Amino acid sequence: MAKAADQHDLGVPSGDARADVGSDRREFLCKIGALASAGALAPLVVGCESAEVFGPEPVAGVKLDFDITKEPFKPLADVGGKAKTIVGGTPIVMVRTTATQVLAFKDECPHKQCPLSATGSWDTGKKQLSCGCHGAVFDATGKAVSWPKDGTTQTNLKAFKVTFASPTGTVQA
Amino acid sequence: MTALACSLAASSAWALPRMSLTIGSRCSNCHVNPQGSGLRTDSGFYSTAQNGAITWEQVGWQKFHDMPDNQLADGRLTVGFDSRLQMARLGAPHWSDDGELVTPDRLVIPMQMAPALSVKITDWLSATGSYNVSTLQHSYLGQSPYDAWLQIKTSQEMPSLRVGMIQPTIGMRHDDHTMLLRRNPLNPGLPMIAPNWNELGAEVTYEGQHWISAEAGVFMANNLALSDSGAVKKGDLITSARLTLWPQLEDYGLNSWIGGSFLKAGDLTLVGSHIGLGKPYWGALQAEMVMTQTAANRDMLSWMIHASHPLKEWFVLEARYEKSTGSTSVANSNAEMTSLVAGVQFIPLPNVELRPEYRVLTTKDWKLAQWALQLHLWF
Amino acid sequence: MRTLIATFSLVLAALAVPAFADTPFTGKTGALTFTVDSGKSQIKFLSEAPAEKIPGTADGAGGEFKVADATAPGGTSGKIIIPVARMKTGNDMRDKHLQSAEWLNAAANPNITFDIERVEITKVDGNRASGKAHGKFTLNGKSVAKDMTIDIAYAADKNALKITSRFKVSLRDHDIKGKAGIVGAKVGEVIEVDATLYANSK
Repeated sequence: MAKAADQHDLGVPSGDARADVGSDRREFLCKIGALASAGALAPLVVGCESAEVFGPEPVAGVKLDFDITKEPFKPLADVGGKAKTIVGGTPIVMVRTTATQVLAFKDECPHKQCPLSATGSWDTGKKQLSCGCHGAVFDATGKAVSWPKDGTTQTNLKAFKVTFASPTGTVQA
Repeated sequence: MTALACSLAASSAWALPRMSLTIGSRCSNCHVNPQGSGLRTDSGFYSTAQNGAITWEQVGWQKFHDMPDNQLADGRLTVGFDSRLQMARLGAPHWSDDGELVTPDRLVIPMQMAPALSVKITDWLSATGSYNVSTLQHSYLGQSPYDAWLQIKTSQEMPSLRVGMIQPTIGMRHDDHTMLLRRNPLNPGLPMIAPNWNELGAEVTYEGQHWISAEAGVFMANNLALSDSGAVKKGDLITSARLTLWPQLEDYGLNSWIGGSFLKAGDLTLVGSHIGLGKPYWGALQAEMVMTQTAANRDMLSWMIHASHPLKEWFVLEARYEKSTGSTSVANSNAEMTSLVAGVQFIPLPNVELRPEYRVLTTKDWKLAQWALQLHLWF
Repeated sequence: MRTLIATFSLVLAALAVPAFADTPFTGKTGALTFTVDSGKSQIKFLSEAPAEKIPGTADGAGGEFKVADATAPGGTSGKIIIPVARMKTGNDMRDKHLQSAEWLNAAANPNITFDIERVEITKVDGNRASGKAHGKFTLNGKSVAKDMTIDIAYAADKNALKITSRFKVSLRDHDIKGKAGIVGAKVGEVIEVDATLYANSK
């Protein structure tokens, strides 16, 4: 199972977190059960459900130094460029917003958890980060300024403190 | 790493390629759309009209049971309807800002509520369309709420031409947005090719011999530019082609298909292949592979194998395993997803389908195992 | 004179041998009645049209025929019966469709029959023979005269017969029209039939 190996380098304790975790054997039985069971039995076996996030529980207060001349931060050399990293177990997307500014946000859109490092785009004119998945838009502080009309609760995007003096800086989770 | 999320846990399965393998018939024999999916031909209507654990005759709806087809006005109008309600956990497990592990809620969402109509204007010209009302409430980026086309078809032996909002033909049409074949493991929150993807364009279809089919089309990218904005821009030209051979080995009682497809749109190049083997009353095995590459060095490889076995014609066991890998130099990352789906297609009454499924979706960052249930009503 | 008679008799006898060899029923004389083995016999059919190739099977073929004289099987007559309900095309609903009034109308005409009127043997090789069966083929309640090429293998020890025949059936000949636009596009106008019948004689 893939683990976030780079988290060890950041001094974060390792370990998987599970919610209603099932063992391998139970999962196997679930799969067999799925094949063998009739549709009407499905609700009876919801106990087979499990959710896991590989990697450690996020820890607040951890700092990470970065250098935009080195990977994975090289994309920050250009305004509008994005880089992703993990600090204290938290996935973070960093955006070069101006020649002197880098912003950092949680790399999960609060709408449907799309990775903003992949789907997000920074509008230098409006100074807004929009998610390409379903169209949520956030300002430079992470405040949601536009939200998909699908009944879900409008939620702000978590922003992190960044100090930046090109080409190096620090981000704090 | 990133707790990628996706509203992709719901199943759709609007087209059933396994049917063509067990029956030994091309999709166009049962669906008005030559790719399969949606509005049924009179043969397609009849094929399902009396298939159920309990028939309409047994519940006293004799007239419905005896309905010979879905056509009106002496065969000039073909009507249909598909409605799907999906219950599933949407999204991915992730850490909340408070440090809590969040399991996505189970939701009930309308996937499809689509009336469809085909009008035979002359012997060689027809107009077909459907509108999915449920997209007003819930849709995916790049999902088209409707399809509509004019078809010129002079005879079965000659190529036909479709013009309008149609889906470029690539691979086998599943219309299941949970399938990794049409997803991007680097961005699992969004189907790379949305369900019911359609573009404005034209496509030529040749099905003049039962053992071969070929499609080639030219389209204008609009919806694909939404679902795969990293590679395709609005207005880019889409060219697509597919060739499929449909060998039937009647001495062994086997039906099969094997083929390949190609799509080029903007910076995106897609190459796919599909193969299937089926035996009447026994079931079907399918495998499909899709490779994509972009000018920005985003490479992806997705494949799946799918097995189905009917215990009864109204109770079909199904299982599918899929894997998708992707890498990109721009984001300096690589990703991997696997999916295992096992379930049942249960038809308690004709025109009523229940599809309970157990799904395990695993990415490098998270894993979600869940039960899902779909209710499908159709005419 | 006696030599002449003897020579003539030998010539007659020599001529008579091929006459007796015009039958696969070596060593048998008189009438033989065969009953078709429903469990063993199998009939395959194939509809080939631009849109679709539909292979099918028809189990349960039955019937009886009588070889009036085993030394001269030309006088064979009888009836082969194929129940429409036992025809399979690989899909239950398609089978129901096949049996519906639009197609074979199984309710009104539950059987396909071939009334054998005579048999013409053209080649004999030991217990094997080939030739033609002449008779009346009835499908969808409509009969047409039909000559079927047949191959016969006779197992003398079991007094059993294997008959194979390949022939074609025109839907038009039997007033089978199906739904408009289907025949010729999705269903072949001519259906190819490959029949293997096993029959036993008591």
